[in-house]
Amino acid sequence: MNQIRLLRSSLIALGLGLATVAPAARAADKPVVVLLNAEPVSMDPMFTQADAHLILTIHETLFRLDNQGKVVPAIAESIKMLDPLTWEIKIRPGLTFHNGEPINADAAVFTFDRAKKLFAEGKGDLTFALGALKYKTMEKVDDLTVKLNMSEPDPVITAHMVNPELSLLPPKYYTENPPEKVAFAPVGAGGYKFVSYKAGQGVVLKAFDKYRLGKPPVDDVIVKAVPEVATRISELKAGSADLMVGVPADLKPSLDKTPGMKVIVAPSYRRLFVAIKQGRHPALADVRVRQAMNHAVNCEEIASALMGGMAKCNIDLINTPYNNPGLKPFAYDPAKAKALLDAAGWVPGKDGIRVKDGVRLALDFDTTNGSYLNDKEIAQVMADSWKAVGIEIKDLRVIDNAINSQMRAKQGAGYRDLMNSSSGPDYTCQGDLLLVQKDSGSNRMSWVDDKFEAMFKAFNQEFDQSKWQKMCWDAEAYVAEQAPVIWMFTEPTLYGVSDRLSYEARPDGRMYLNLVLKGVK
Amino acid sequence: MSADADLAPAPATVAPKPRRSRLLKRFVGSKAAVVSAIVLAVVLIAALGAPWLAPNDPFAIKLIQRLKPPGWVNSAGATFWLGTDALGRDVLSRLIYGARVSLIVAVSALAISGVIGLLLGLVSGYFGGVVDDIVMRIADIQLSFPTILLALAIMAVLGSGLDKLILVLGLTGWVQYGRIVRGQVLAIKQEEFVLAARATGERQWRILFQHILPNVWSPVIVVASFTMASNIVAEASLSFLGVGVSPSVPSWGTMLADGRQYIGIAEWLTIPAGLAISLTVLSINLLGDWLRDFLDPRLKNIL
Amino acid sequence: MRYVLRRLAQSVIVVFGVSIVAFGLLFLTGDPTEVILGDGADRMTVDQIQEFRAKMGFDRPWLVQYASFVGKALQGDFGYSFIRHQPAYEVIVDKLPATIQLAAFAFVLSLVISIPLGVLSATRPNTTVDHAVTALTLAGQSIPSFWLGILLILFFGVELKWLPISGSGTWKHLVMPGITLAAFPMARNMRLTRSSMLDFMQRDFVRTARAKGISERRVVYAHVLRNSLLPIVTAVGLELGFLLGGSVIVETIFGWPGVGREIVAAIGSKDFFVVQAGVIMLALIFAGVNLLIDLVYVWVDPRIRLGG
Repeated sequence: MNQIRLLRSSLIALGLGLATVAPAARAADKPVVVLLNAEPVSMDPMFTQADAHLILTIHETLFRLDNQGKVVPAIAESIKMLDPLTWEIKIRPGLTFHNGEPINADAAVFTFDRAKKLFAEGKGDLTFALGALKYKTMEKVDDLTVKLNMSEPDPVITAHMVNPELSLLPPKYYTENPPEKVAFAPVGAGGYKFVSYKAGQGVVLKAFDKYRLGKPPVDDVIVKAVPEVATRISELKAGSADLMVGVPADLKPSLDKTPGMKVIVAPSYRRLFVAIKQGRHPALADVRVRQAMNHAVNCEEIASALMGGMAKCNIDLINTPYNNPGLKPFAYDPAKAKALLDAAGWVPGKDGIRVKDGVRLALDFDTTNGSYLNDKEIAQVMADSWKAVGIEIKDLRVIDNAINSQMRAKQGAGYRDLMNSSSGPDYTCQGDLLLVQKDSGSNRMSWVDDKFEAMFKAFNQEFDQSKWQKMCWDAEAYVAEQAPVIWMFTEPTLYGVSDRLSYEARPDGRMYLNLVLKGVK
Repeated sequence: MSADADLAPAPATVAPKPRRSRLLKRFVGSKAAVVSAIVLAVVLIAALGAPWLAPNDPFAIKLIQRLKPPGWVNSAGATFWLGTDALGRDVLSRLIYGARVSLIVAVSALAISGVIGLLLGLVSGYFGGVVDDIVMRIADIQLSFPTILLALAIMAVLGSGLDKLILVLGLTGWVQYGRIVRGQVLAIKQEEFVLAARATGERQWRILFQHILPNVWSPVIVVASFTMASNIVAEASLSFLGVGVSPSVPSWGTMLADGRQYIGIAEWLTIPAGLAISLTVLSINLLGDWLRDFLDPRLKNIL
Repeated sequence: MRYVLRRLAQSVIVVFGVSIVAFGLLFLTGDPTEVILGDGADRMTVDQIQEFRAKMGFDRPWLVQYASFVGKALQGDFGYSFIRHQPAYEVIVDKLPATIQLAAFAFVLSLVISIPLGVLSATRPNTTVDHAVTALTLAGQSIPSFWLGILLILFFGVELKWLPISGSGTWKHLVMPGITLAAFPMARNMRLTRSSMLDFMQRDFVRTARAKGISERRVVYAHVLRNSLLPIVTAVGLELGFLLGGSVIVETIFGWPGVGREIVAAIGSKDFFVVQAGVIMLALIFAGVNLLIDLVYVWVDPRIRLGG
């Protein structure tokens, strides 16, 4: 008897407890909740490459990309070349950081010095940013003017100043506080002020009323990390989140029917490809093998079935508008693939897998799961296609998204033969070519080609803009044919957005909240 | 848990060897055991006969026929009784082949951990003293590491795959066997027949393997049944974390893990695999319960 | 007292063993220099690599390295995280409270639900209640936890909107991850309680107590339950390891910011000092709690003191 009573009362208590957790009333003043897939590594711009969304929401750079992807002056007002190695930058007057420190030449000099100093000490994640913008020093000219001394001529210098790593920092705050503290208590000049951060509860942000473009339309925002896609979608369906990126294409029809939310499909500059890592399997050094791998994959079918027809196969090493529209992708042609492999000396063995000098053409393929639309499924389809021409994928491994972003940040350290990968836009042809340039932080394949390096060097030092298009197209055509990657397509971006939020998607897929959140009901 | 405090039950007398006729009679008497045995027999047949039983090729990727509902018939007249997955592969065929992978993982891993645990348990219980101390401390150290994290770390360094999965589960699962065998040995070595053998000057190893070993099988079999169940679940869990078998290999764990995105639009991707795992694990547990009650009811309090 | 000292000595040995394994993780593939630098080593000169090796101290004999590893670890210095740019120890300590909170909640949940239900079903065998409890037990032990978690989210989070789906912060956030994590140990404890109670109720001393006219309730609680709890106490020590390890999955599904996800990320980025720190800290917690449990065990069952 007693036990039953105990049980009953505990069940009732449990039920009551659950019942009091009634859904909170929805109101316009409820913060907008944005879901990302990983907790921030750091909010110090110089110590992370994985948190650009957040960094450029809190911080501001000298130049920025607007929502159309154009480089526009941000904190900088204007820039002038004094000679090929010296540039003069004027800073907008009257701007302040979140803590009230003025934005002036001192702040710019402090920021650029700090980057140089950290990089020299081997600290921070600055390989990419300082690899792109090769400067020696920054000097103060007057309170709102600085001089940037370059170590080599850079015709697209403004595009190299948009990287979040070079966000301007308030000197006093960042000198007085140790790096451990500022990492999770940032002060910047961006559209949102940092309020608090606790893992699991998210980064709480508040609109900055003295932002240079005016106070952002949405006042309160919380940025939360949820690693599991299925959970992110559930949050959106339940109405407890307002924005997520990376909705699986297959779910669009069903989610569109869910009340309270919509799926926004936006074009993107995120070009998907499969990186071919050099140095592990000898066959991959042979251009014919790489071309054969491209010919063996039916990209069109993948695009129509797994991307819901929202992607178009092409060689997109360079983003529009600089891209050569006449460049033809590798046609799906298994016969040609086989012929190329035969010519390269890889002939079918007893089990159908090709062999040369006793080495099997068997490769390792790493794929993420959910970092890109249907990435794991694409990997399996490709493995199947390659098998048909005698290339075996001996180990198809799924790696954690957090692991992948960290491997990417370390120039692909840990990549095996093949890896699902992507590249964001650089808004210049020179910048996009960095994907395959040997010193670049975005070249994660260890692919080095002397002819390309020569073309790239000449292009990168050419100030005569009338020659750029031809140089760009020639370089792209050469790389396309060399096939350092399996070319695929530019993926669409699918955002899940609550009905109360108005959202303007950027083609680069970045969620700079001060620019993309347009209002909340 | 210090192994010293982990007093295995000390049976006053060694259970007499059950005779086969009694085993059968008691077995038929238990409805749960019979039903479980039938379920497991079906799984076993599926695993062994997969190439003949599977109606379609479980590896054939056909994007054109992806995510078709159960009962769909394609233009060539092939029927997909449980529908197709996100790559157009036959779910039923993958389920049947999946039985094979899940059983291989579960059984091989339990064999590895069983052999290690049995040997260490025998040695540690019989010789006692320093040997016992060392083995039990190793057991404590092993237990201090959360299995899944250890498996992740090892597989991150050595790579993933069926063989590594088996190795990791096998190497981390021996402690349960070791402890229970040790407890049994501690009790048995005081038995008259062991003391007598010692008195006649028989070799230690002979005593251990000829007299003691035959008497510790019951708990080992019972532990094995529970380990097998937990190995099947562990395979699914590691698949969810992305370090299980390769995604192209059909295993119940990967099917369930892959299908989770489609809950709400394609239930046929998760429910068959989920039910297969749950029913199999359930049957193994029920059969294990029955075996335990039959072989050695005193194990009830620790397993 | 002697038992307690002996038990303490054992814990020290275990911690020592754990440190060796954690130290050894770094050497699993040979030279840790190459593991840490990865392909970055391709772009460095031989001298630079050698310099890095010397800087990290990997050129010393491994015994010396181990000694320095232990020496530093004793002061809480586990090295520096390459990714997080902060001491590895801090990376783990920051995330530890969340994992402990979740594991502790699941632990309590598994006991407060399983023991009463186990008692209930043992005191009325073969009734509907008993069958229901048995069914629950079997289900809890056979559903993979990530599936259970997703189903809970869909039901309580999306359909009923009773509970927050992910993240941490309030006690409501704990409910679903807690249940998901506790499902398996809860089922096992229920089963153990039930079978152990049934077993003891057949024992002579219980029959004697009954014959003496002691009330049934007193028999059940004072005699049977107290004795039946022993196997549970034994099992809970191991359960903790399960809870700490199993939290990786629950942390992933529910976006719970714990040590498990941190270690997973660190494993992938070869941030080995964080892996070492994490593994050691979890093992220490496990060893510490088990020491405590063993001491409780002695208190519950004084025979151990004599036999130990």
